[in-house]
Amino acid sequence: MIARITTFSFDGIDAKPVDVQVHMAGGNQPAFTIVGLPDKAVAESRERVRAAFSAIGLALPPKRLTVNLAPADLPKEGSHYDLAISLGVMAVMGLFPADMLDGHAALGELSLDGQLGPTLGTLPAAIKALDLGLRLICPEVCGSEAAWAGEGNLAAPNLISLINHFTGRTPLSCPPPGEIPASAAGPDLKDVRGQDGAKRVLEIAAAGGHNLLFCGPPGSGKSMLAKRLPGLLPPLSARELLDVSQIQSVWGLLERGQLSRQRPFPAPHHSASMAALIGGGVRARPGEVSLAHHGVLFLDELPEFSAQVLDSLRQPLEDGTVTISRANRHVRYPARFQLIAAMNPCRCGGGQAEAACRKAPRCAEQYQARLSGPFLDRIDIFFDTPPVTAVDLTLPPSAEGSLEVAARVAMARDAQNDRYHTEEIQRDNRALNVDADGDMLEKFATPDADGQALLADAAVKLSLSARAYHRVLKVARTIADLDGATGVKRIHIAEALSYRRRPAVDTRTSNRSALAY
Amino acid sequence: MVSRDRRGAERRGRRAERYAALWLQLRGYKLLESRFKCRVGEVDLIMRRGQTLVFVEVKQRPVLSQALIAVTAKNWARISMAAEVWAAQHPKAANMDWRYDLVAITPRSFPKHYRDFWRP
Repeated sequence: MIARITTFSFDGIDAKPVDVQVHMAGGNQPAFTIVGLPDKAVAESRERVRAAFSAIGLALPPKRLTVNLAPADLPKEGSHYDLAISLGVMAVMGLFPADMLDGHAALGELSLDGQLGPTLGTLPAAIKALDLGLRLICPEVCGSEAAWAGEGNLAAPNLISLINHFTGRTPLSCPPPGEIPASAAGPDLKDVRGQDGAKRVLEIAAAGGHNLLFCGPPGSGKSMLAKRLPGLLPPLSARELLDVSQIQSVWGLLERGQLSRQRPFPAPHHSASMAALIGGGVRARPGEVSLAHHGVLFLDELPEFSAQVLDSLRQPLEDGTVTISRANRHVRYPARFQLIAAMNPCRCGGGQAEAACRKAPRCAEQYQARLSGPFLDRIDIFFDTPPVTAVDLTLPPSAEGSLEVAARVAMARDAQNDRYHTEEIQRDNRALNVDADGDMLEKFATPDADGQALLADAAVKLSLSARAYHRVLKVARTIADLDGATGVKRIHIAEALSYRRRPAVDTRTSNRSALAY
Repeated sequence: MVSRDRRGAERRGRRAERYAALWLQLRGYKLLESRFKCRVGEVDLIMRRGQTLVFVEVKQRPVLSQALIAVTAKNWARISMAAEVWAAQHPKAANMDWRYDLVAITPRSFPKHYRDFWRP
């Protein structure tokens, strides 16, 4: 006698269907074996199922029970196979007809008393189940998470309720989707005194999704400004929300199925390892870059990150995905994020003329040389935040707060959406200036004659790489969008060029000459 | 009960087994063999009910809780191996479901029968 039910194994955030087949045969020693490359957590499922059964007053029959997880050559890991296995066993035991399980998938971890506990990855599994035309049975605590994928899923608090459901005594109802809590108002741009230039840059970065690097002495408000960026961005759209939530579901960040429209803003410490940032580890878990998908990745004290870690960011910055390859795994995670970084100009802080570094300019050179050229090439906007003076602090707070800026950002983003939505550059449900490729830029961001002349001149003088050239165009396009201009003019190109990187030595020598005066 | 010599223990054990066998027979089990011994181990009672073959270990102790922990996993493994040997001599056993039960005998009370007490 055989019962079968579907469950899922996870490959990145992709749920892959796994067929759980339970076979019961009489004769000889009683046995309960699980085959199909289970890892330790899956093999332990045997003990949980046995204990849960005895807790609800069911005894495993003294027969040979064989559970096969097909495809048998795919390694299975995790504790979420418990529910599917126990449903299959109950069906072969004859508690309900085995064909009742047709059209169902199950995902959940059993506790020893027969209750169903929370499980990671319910949302991707529910989405996949919907694709396959299956109803997903999941633990009650995950029900509101599964309900985001669509109607028709079942959420059960324990095994007994499932028996009652399949025997038709008390059918389970579909859980309602969890709530989207009103996102708490983040820090406001009003709190930042002075730094009008930096605020402008922040607005441009928010509007076009550009990568941004603040460079300035300690206490000039770099981190403060960066933390106000998520508040300027529009809330996640429905599609983006689903993408982000799937990653969070695999990571275990969704509580009670509550999704948040707030853009993610991971800010890993600079001691982060490559596996933490990019993803990896034994189970190839997603890293911070994937958690920052559709959001902002904030790297404070950029040069303090290890060079290897920073250079590993190059691929995701370019492609919007990371591929983690291990001997036994090959996992792809989405990672389309906006990078905001902050750094001091040199190791000892420095910057202000009075407190300037004694080892200038060598100190700054060495410190900034930690960032590799190819990495810096991928940053669109460089901005040197000037030190904040006491006068700035005594000024009244600016009238303009995050709300007003966010409104302008939203308008600029709408303009980009109108422009690109017909084009093929929509990547991961996003269409921003940063995503435009060469052809698109030629079509939409070709500057007027004056601007072209300026750009050609600058390209030679600043020896811009092809990538840098395009990045200038992208930033100029965003500035024009903020202006509400249809074409890119000389003034936009000029502003975009002013945000290019200046070599470290230049700023230092100018500082030194300031000292000499 | 200070000088509990070996012969006395043997005698008490046999009496407990007879008592347990009688008790199970009253409950519809058929006694196939008692005190099955072989090189790898021994089984106190081998009984049958319907399609189920039951290997019973009988334990007599002054207190119930002592009886329940008296048989170690190693002992059960020996019982299981002896069961295999017995089944090899009785071809019909291969088609039946096997079960390992414990019967605890305590003073001044009925035997306590624990079904499916252990699994390989």
